[in-house]
Amino acid sequence: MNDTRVCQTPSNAAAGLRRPFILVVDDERVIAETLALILDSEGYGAEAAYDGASALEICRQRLPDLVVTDVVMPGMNGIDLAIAIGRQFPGCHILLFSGQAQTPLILEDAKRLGYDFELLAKPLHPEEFLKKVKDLIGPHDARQKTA
Amino acid sequence: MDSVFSGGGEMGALMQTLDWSKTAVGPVASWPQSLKTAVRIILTSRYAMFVWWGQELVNLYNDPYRLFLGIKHPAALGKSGRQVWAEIWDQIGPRAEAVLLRGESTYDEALLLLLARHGYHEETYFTFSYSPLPDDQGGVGGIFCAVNEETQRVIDERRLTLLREIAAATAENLALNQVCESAAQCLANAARDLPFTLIYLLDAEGKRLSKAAETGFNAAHPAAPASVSLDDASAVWPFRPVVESGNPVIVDDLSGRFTGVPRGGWNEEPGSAILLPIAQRGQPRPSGVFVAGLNPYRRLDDDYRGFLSLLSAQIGSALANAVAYETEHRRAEALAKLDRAKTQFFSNVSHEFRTPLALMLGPLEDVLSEGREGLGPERHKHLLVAHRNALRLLKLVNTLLDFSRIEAGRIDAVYEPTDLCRFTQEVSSVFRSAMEKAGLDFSVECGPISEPVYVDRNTWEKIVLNLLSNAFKFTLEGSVAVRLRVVGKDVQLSVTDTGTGIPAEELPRVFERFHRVESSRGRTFEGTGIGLALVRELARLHGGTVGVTSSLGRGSMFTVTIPLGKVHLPAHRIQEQATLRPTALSGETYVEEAQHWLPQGSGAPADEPVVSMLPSLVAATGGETAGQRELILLADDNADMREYVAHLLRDKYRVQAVCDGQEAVEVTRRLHPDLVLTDVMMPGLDGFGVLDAIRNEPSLSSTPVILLSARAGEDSRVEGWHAGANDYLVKPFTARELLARIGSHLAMARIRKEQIMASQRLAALVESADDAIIGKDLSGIVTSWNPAAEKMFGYRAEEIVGRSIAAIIPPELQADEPRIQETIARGGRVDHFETVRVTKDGERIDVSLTVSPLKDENGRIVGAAKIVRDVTQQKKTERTLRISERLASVGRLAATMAHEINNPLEAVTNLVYLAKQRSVRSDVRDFLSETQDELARISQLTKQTLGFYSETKKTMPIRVGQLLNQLMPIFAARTRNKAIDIRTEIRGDFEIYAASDEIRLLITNLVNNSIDAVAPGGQILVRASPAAQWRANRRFGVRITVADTGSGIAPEVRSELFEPFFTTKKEVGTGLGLWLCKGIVERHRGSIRLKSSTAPGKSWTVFSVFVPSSGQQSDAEALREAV
Repeated sequence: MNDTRVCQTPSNAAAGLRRPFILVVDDERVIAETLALILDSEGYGAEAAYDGASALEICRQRLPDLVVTDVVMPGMNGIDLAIAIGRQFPGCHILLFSGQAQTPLILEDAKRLGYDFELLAKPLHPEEFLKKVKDLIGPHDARQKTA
Repeated sequence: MDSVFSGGGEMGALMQTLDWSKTAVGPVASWPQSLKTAVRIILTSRYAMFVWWGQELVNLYNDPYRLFLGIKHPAALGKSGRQVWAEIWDQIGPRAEAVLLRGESTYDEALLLLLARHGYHEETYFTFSYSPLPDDQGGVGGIFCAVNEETQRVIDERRLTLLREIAAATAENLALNQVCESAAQCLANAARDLPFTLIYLLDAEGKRLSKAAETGFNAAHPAAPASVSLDDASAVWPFRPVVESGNPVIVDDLSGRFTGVPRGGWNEEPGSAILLPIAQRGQPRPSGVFVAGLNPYRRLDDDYRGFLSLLSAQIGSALANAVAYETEHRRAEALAKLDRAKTQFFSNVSHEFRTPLALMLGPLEDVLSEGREGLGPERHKHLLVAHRNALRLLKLVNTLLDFSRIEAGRIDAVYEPTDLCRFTQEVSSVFRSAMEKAGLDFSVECGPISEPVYVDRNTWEKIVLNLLSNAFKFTLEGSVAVRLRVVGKDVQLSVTDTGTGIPAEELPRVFERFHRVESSRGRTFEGTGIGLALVRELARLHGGTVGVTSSLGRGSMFTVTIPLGKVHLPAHRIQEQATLRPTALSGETYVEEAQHWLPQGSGAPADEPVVSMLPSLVAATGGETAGQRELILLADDNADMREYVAHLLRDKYRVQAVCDGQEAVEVTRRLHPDLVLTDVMMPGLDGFGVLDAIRNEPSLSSTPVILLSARAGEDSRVEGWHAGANDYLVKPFTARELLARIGSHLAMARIRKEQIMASQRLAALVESADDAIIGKDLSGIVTSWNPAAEKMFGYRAEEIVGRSIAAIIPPELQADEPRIQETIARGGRVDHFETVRVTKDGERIDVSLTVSPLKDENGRIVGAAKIVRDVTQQKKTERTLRISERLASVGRLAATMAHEINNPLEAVTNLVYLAKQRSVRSDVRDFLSETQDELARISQLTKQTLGFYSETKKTMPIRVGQLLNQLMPIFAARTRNKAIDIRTEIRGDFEIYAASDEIRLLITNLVNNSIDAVAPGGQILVRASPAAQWRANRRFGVRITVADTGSGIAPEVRSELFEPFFTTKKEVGTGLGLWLCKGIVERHRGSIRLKSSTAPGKSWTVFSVFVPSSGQQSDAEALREAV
């Protein structure tokens, strides 16, 4: 029994409950990793990805409850990634964050295509960030798995 | 038929029928052979010819000549030439005489003759030759003439010339009045076609015409009024019909209207004139009217009319060009103004960033100094990353600062002769390990360069580092090569890479500021597009140039070329002696940043020593930080002694060792050490010489100097003190003694320095304070008056010092002063007393007073120091708001910078959060808390300065009345202070679609402007009412009216009011409020209008804003909703 617990997740593996899984995408590795660490320290399962393509790959393997992605990235940008995830994994929540002031314009474009994303501005205090995450997918230990 | 006339056309036939016997030539049969021959010639010629025969000059002419005679034909045949051409006989008679009397031929080309051949005198031009016809006796029997009319050619040429001249003259002149002047100069030369001309221009309202130019008039004349109203029915010229119809009008009763109009090139006054509209491109209304007196000797035929309308069109287009140029010129000036404001703004913001960064790096470095063991590997790693990112921010901010320094002309370059090969190699070498880690071949090939090159080393270093950083960033594999060599009279640095290359169309722009080659493949997305632009600016500082060649996918080569020698450099910035500058460390920021671009694992190892940026930062910000080690200059010619003493000192101090007196003085001048330790006995300049040099230089004289000598004895000690040494140590001395003495002298020096700095700071503060600082004695007489006081009150110091302070107190508040004096005399102070003062111009200003007693050295109160501040808390918050407003105008840069700053900020914020969360030690947590506070400050600043653009502008249903009610309390404090009666009136409050943040900003700006504008006791009314706008489409919406009884806005500044950076509030205005308002209103498709009166005592201003209820929807939608 102990073994199983260790294998699954470190803390809250109870029947019908699982740790919500969050994917953080940012080409600034430090940001992606630290956010993942912060989420992890709050009990969420979190993983970091550094570009859109590998983020999509991770989504295919293990569907996250929430994807937090930077907007301005080389290659596939955050909006494209968000749209791709929205199409392929409709149940997944998406949160965009950006340090670029022009981003609202890009968001407007996305809106015209029928996608309405929420955007957080960098720098965001970790406590505010956690509150946002909690509002979106609920606290890590009380979340019921949904389809 | 006489054979002589046969085949002679109409004239031959006429001659046949004429009874010649009744003329002076007699019957044809009696004609001499020569006449007959001549007649045969003319009749068969197709060239106009005639013969005047005998003393009577009997006229015989051919068919082509008929045209020249006009109505004189056919009566002229057989008549005397004198009779036929009576009107021009004064000109041609003498020529005929010359032929008849002297047998001479004549030739005239394009001779002006005023012929009356069509019933009026006509300007004509003829080319003709008279030649003698012999009679049968060998004498002169008559005159033979071939003639050609040139009237058309001469006049056409003349008119074309005028048109061409006007075009040429007005093309060069660009101001409106110059255009008219130049046109007039040309017109004056065309006095035959245009005896007089007038150019009138319509004013902006289209109501009045003013004379812009005239020709022909020598003095004031009723026909040339200086200005005239269009509505004036009694105007001397029919201007109105011309302006309204846009068609020319002819006035043909000049003699009835005026007497003595200018005659121009003629002896007769023109009988008529024409008025032509001066058309404006693309405008229905003409820009003015061109009046021209008409040539009395020409009919106003199609040619003449065509010429006149071409002329007025020519003038019109010259005027239009002038207007366009002036507009362009004004625009260019406005842009230049904007640019300067931007530069200033960035310089300010950059400084704002540096201070919190310095305070953040300090604690971080303190924590990091505990090392990996002390902190634990994970926390240590996090903090290292935080540190690196803070450095990255710092580098960006420093680059921006460099830019604003260059633009402001404040860069402190010092050009020194430098072994550029060695220096370039040194600088380049800092990149070696990063290049190798990235698997790139890195080669540096320098020289040979036979002579030292004059460069500013900091600048050269930045050039090399920026180019290397760029090459590293865009070269994923292959090589980077640095090459330095002499090319002709220049030194050329080239950095060649095998990177991604630059598309050809981007090449011309790579050195432009903030230009980034989009979508190029590199190690990172980071970058502001500022590095290469900086390289270009820095190369220019050296009189040099930059260049780039590139091939997409194969690589690029950047070159920087600077001249050898020094003639191209400003002489006062050249330092001949090469200095021993310690190797600058700025390379590290570049390399740390570059290494961070490498894939993880090959980056900087976690336990890599942290490069301390703190000293250079503190030096740059002018601050002092505890823990910074003091610098000691050690001069001794004995190498062993030098080694030993340096070794003793190194634990506690930074040491710069030199081996002779001369060098000691130079290094002291350059590095300003905290203490100088010098041996007395040295070859060349000895220790006393060093001491002397230091004491004689004001900026160094306070440096503590300790002499070291082998000469013992009281005498030498006294000699040392006498010379001004702080101390005198005799060898051998113990390490403890040396350290103790140095310690105590440094401590004393610090105290002295603090005292000096405190008093200097105070003096500087008083001089540079924004607050007026006024000294007065106990009877209220002003004793000192700083520049801010001059600015605030308008009195110059020499005007007011010696006068009573009562000058700046308004009459009704004069009683305040005795009360203040009394408080001061008791030794009390007055703190932040809010009241009103008057300036020299009588303007009332709100001030906050702080008055404290001034004491002499015995503690007696001798006067008071008064600090007057012209701001309120409200204004300060406004200023913060304005910082964000200003940024709106530099959106593009803001966006780029935001990304660059926010990303490291996000990273550092997260790292510090993690580090704090996992730290058990309370002192470390304290440090991190401090770091978090500073971070919050930077984040706040970033949001304020860079965030304005990212605010949502989403429209939503809002009620303006409700908004007003929420906003009004914000103004309460300010209006209460000024005793302003502020009222809100809400006449109905329905929903409109608008961006509530923007409408809030709009109202805030307008109300704040009013509060600034009204005098104490004034009134402000803010009203929201339902309104409809009828222009274009009928639209409903809300009208927001802000009215005040302020001083009003002068008409001449109204047009500039909505321009960015325009302000009437010299001290507090950023000049963005109304510009921003205009933008908001335009985004909501509304309108903003202003009415104002500056009548003294009755002045007022009303801003009226209409916001349609449909917000940013289209007019059509608005209409649908309204209906």
